[in-house]
Amino acid sequence: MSKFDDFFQTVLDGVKDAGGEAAKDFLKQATVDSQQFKAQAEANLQRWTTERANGEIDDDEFQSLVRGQLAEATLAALLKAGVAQQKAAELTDKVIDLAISTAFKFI
Amino acid sequence: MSSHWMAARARWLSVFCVVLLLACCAPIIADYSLDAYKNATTLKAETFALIDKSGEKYISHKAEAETLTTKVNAAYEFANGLANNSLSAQQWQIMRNPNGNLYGGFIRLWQKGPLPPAFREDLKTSIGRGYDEIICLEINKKDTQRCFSAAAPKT
Repeated sequence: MSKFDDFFQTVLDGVKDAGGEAAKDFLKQATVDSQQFKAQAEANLQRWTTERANGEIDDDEFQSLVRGQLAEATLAALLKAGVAQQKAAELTDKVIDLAISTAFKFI
Repeated sequence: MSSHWMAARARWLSVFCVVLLLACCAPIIADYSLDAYKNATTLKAETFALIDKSGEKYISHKAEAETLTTKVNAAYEFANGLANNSLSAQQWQIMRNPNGNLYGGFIRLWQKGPLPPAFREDLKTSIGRGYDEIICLEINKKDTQRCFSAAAPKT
């Protein structure tokens, strides 16, 4: 195996490790979050329905709360996109650092 | 010049091209902004204070409400003015939208009449979570971590 092949393999192994952890963590987090969000949404809907039935809130207010929950979900999705973007940027930085430091070892 | 040397040189050059490509094509997100963080946390507290007063007539607090709306609009403009910050700007747009159902919706409904206690509490929870999403995104620009929000509950 040439020096270049060694270098390339070392970088690939590093990327696999870094990418694997980030991907696993992201998937695990996304599953937990969606389950918790769904449970919370159901509990909210139940509470608002009761409040509407008791006359504590009117139709406009009830609708506003339900639609507000959808707006919250959109904000949460934007947050997720931002976190994923940031993690991808961090991973790219790691790969670049790894490639450069590995290259110096092999030169 | 030997063909072996040429081949080795070409391969090292390809490595530098890959590194360059990674650097050029990395997803870009705005840097953490302390001002943006302060905007969100302060406006969350000020919105809660205004919701507490929304059991009274809007007209009695019109000036206060308009001042806060201006601040929320300014927070959107600040976020929208930062480079590579479209996700945060979209969040602020949803929060302030007068036809929406978070801060903008709260003001719209209040203008129709005083808001009942149960709704005020529900609004604080809903709008509070919305602000938490904005705050959480700003925090994550500095360091990816979990933070308290509807999408990422505290553990």
